[in-house]
Amino acid sequence: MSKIYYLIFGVFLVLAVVVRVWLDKPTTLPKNQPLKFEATIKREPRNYDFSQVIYVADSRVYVDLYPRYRVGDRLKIAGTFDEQGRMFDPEVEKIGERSSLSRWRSDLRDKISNNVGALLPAREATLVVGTVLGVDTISQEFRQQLIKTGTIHVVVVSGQNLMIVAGIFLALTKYLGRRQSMILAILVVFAYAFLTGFEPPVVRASIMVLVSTLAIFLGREASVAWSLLIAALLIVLVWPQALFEVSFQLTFAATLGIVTLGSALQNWLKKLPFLGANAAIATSAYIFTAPVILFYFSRVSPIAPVANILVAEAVFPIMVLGFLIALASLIFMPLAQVLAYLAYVPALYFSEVVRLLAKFV
Amino acid sequence: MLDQKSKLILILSAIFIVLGILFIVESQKVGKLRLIFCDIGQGDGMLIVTPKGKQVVVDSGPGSKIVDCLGVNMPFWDRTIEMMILTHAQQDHMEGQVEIFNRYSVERVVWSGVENTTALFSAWQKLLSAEKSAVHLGRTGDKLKLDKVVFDVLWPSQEKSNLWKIAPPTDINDSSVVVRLEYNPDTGSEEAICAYLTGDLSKEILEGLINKPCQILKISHHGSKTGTNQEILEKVNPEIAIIQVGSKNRFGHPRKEVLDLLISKGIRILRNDTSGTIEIVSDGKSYTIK
Repeated sequence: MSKIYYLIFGVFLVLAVVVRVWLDKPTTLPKNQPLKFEATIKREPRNYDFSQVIYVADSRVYVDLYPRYRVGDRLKIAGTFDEQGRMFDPEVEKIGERSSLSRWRSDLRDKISNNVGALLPAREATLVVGTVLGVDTISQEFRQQLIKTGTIHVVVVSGQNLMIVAGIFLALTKYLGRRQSMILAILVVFAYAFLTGFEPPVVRASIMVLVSTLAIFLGREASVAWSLLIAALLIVLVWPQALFEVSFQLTFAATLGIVTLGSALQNWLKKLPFLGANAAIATSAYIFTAPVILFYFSRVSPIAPVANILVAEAVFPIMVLGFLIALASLIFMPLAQVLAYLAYVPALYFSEVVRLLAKFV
Repeated sequence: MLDQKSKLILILSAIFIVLGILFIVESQKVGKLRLIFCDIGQGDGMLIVTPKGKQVVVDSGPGSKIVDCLGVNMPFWDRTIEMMILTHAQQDHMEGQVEIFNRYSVERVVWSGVENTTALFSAWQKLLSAEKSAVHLGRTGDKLKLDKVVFDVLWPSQEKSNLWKIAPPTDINDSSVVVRLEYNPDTGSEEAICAYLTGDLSKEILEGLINKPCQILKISHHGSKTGTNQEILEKVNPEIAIIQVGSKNRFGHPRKEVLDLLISKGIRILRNDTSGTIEIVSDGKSYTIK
């Protein structure tokens, strides 16, 4: 293996240890009894059609949509968690605010997502924000349609999105040189993981994606599967519980599928124009993740490969334009508006395909 | 295979072609009045598009589903709501307006001026003043015009509003801004399409406000028995009754008494819980239901 590969491995190892030290021990909150406690929000609350979900330790607190709560808010909460760790109609009072890096990030996310919301119709805005930041706000109907068609991974920060990000920068090799583009790709993937909040699933996906993308890039096709395995081992070392988490298993299975079956299929499907590469990636990821999905959700969406092949071509422009829109919206809104019109077309195509295909499931 | 540059050009030209097509498709919809009763769950939320493509939002339901409805029914380049009416400051009528303020620019806001004590109302008020929309307190006798669509404000009266400043209304539903909208493309002719938008007003007040028949009646208070009676139906003599209601709501809306009354009068009932979003399109003389 080349020197740079060892270097990357070393960086990962150090980062892994740092993250491990940072991690909070999981707290379990008592269920079925009235509680009164104070907590600081650490994860971005999710906004659905009718409620806002605040994550506290292993549990969730459901509150009205307004006032909005944010990362860093210190809350006084009173209510009772049920068996599943959900608290409905609690009394919530905001007693303070902590400024921190994660608060700053939350402000940035909020700003970007509000800006995009002001530029595009709701569904298309969800897609653009989702590919850039991972969504915190999504309508129940659209979410159900994305799940039904097996395309929800596009609006959460998933391995696929990270792969696109890494891919864009690795494609710059011609202009920047191999090493520079590689370092840039690593930095950007981590910047991306930072923007999305460094949630363990995202960090894990970043590691796996970087390792496999770089291995392919370095032209060691035979060792790609091995690299992936090493990355997975490393991850399990840091987050032993990850082994039992669906998100980790899905990322691992999908990546493994893409680097093994996917590259084989790609050679075979290359003759097909346009959809060939998409089909190879979508089908291989689908085949490898199907057992995991079947095990946890006891059903596999039969149209998922079709939907994924159809929308794949749109994800790339949505994402690239999404990043540009996000950036532009912080500097000069009219430019962001023009870019948003361009992004509207692939986003509309995506949402229409999903809407139509969801009817068949 | 194509090289990257020609692929980029191809994608960009495809985007521009689609944008052009969308522009043409959208411009075909202009020229008619569209009344869209959005499926927003248990609450009221409606979008009116004037023949010249201006938007009026009347209430906006609980939650944020209204922005989905606006996204689908407005051209993608239009980010302006020309007028937004809030009938009264309750969650099932106003929550979506907060999200509208966040995403759209709102030129004019019409409401009753009767405040609520909820955190939601404070959020709404804060956004309203940040938006710098023109604010109009709707009072009986006001005539608001947009293109050739006229909004006659029937309630609340100036007298009641003055009273409420001293003692707030016992039931905030009774402060609902009630309007009759009318679209008449040729000012000379008698024919016109009109609709009563009633908020959650109680039947005792509502029956006194109706001064002429209309084809469309938005049933007050989601079909609760407090909002509809025989006299109202006889005075309005509607062809269509719209009930904005969410499925399996905890209030048991719409009430059987109200449905029976509507059926006995032979009025066609359209409900959001069974039909989803309801759209009525009119040229001012006749109308079609989508």
